[in-house]
Amino acid sequence: MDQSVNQEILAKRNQIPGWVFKVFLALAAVGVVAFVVNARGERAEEVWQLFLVNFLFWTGVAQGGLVFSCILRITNARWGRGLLRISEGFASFTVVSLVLLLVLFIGQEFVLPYAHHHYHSPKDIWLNMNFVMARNVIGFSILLVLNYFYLRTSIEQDLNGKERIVRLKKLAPAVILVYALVFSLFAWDFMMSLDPHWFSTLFGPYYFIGSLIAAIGATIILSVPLKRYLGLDDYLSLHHYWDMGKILQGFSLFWVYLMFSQLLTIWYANMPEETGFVIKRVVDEPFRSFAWAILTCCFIFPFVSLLPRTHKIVTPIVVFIATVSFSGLWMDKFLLIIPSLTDELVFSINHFLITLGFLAGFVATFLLFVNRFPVIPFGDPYFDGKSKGGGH
Amino acid sequence: MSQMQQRPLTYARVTEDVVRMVDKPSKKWWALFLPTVALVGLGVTCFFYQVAEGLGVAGYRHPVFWGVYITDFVFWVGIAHSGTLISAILYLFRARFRMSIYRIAEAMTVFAVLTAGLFPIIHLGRPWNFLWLIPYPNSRELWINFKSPLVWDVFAVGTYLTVSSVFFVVGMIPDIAAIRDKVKETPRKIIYSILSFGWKGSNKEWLHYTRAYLYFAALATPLVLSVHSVVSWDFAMGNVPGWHTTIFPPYFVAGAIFSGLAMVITLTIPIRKIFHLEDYITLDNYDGMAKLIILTSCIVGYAYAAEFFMAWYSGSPYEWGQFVYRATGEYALFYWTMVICNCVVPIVLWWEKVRKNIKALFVISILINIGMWFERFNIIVISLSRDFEPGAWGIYKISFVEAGITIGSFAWFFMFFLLFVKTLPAVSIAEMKEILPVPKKGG
Repeated sequence: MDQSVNQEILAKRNQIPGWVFKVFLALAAVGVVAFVVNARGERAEEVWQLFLVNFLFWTGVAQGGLVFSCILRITNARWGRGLLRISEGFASFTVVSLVLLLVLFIGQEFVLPYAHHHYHSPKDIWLNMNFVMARNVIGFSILLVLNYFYLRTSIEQDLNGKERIVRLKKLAPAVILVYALVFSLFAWDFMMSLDPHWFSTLFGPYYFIGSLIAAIGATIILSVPLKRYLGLDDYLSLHHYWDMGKILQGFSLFWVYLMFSQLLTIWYANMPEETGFVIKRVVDEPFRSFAWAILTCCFIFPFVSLLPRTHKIVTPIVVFIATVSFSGLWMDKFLLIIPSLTDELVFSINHFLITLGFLAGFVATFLLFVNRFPVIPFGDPYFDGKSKGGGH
Repeated sequence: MSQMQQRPLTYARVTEDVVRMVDKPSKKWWALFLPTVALVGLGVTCFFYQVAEGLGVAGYRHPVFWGVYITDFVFWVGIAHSGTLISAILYLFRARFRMSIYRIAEAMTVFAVLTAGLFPIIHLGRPWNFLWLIPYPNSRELWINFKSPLVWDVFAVGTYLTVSSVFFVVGMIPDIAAIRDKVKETPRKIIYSILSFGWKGSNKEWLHYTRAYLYFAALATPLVLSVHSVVSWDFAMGNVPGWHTTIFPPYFVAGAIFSGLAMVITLTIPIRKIFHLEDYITLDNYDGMAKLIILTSCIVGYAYAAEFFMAWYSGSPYEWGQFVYRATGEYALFYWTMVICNCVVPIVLWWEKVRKNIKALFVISILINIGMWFERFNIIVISLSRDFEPGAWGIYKISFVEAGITIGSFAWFFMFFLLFVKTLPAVSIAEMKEILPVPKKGG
């Protein structure tokens, strides 16, 4: 690898000015304050519900980013090498997520109906609070350990100049397997079981694939300002966005496929223990409009608007489309969780502040990461160096 | 063979080797071909016996009226999947390991769909009425029942057959033209001339051709998901314990790709040996396929576990009873064969040594095919033999007619395949040349 490239990338560390972090940390603090002030008051249920929605969404994005990097590594994909560090940088938030997971159990009475209800066998075994806490905390901790080793190896490649691709390719499948299992547990315990009589076998994949799609969207969204600010035009060319646009479009189709697979099966069989969950979200107001908005944001809009090549390679356009899809996936978590806990759709300033707090916290940890470590994985054997405007 | 490996792959050698494959069949080929024809004869005989005697000879007993034929149908549709995966999806992902094997996989797809399409008809009591499944204007103004997933099947499989055949035929045009230019005898020359659609290999033709191929790939990609999803809905739409579950569509698709890849490995290993294609179908190609097998095996394993878990978690006695019965009842042997072949055996593929060991791969791929056949059998037969009402439970046994027709279907598939490798280019000349280094002047 060209030494000048190494020097150039290494020089891009610590370039983000301190005020940027301060702004994001301040916004995150606002979110924390809005949450803490209300966590025991009249609006406790409302803020805890929003906490759960955001916890699941942002944890998914954070881990999904690392999984995307793992996928690129396993498949020897050269095309996305330049974006690999950015997407794996999201995983820096997973440390915060572990704390948030523990916080979640403090508010169990507000968000987890099974914490204060008793159910018949076998649900009394599976939904026993100690068991729920143990399996989720232990599972997520294992995932974090894997994350740590994967990220450390990945960064070592750049900083020590030693090729570690073999080790990375061994760690990557482990991360993906544990991700699928732990995030299925999250999906079952923190979304599906909120309506303890409802079940769907596809629910786990629906959550962990959705998180991966959100992470792909976030990679597009966050890489563009970074590229502008740090001057990464030589490394992130229009080909990267062209391919990322295609991936996002393909995955929007896959998302709707998973959604439809569940919906059609439940609708056709028309069994009351299954349809209740869907009717509340898809047929009855106030959530019906929400469901249509999600379908539009996650599938119809990105799928159609990403068809022309221009929309994939002009960065402001592709960022806009990715933002719509990203927001849609946030609303999707909202719709999966909230109707199980309440019949009304209320919006307040707290909703906004808490979500903003999570967003700011996520961006702040991400920026800390990319500021500290090389933003382009130049030490990776499949990294082709400066993009010459051609080739895959 | 050792001589051939010493010669480096060049443009000229690729063409020569492929043209040699479609030469006059050897005795070995006849020794393989004639038994398959005989076994097809066995299948046909069994079928006519069944037509004459009625479906009773097919082992159908109350309450199981879907048996081996539907299992075979799902099995063969599944086999068809990896062809489109390899030729379309991996093409879009620019995965190079597909290039040497995609033609064989595509051919396999077309023949597997042809085989699968027979089974719904064999399964009918009055097979000559199969036309009633197709919507056509008629004097009695009768329409098919569009609400039935079985009718969705007709459309799904019909579309799949059409698209995969077109993809297959279009993909071969430049290669057939290359053979046309080499062969001398008149009748073959005429046939290859017709099939090559007057291809000259000009720049303009290549421009349109590559463009068209890209669009075909993009159109064929959703089909990989849709066809087997529709097949899965044949079951998931029904309120039978063990059938009605939301994970079925992606689970069936993953299972189909899983078994299809295994079949590609099963077929290419002997072909590679017989035609000395070691330089074309390399160990790295097998490595890539084996990795995809690991992935799909994990998805299938996840689905087994998720189904089992939900059956327990749901608290439904019917669902839970069904799954306990699968694992411990009369069919437990079939169930554990499935689990071991599909989830346990592929674990050895995590080692690169195994992924690049041809003998090991051959054995594993056959085990996977056995496992996947039993998966469909378990889903269909075990669920039907024990549904909600204990008074209606019953046991189903495979009859000799069903066994004969199943063996016949394998022979039918291999017969087409043997004809294919002797008449059409089984390795893509054009795409192989794409990955070879460009020849130097005078070199």
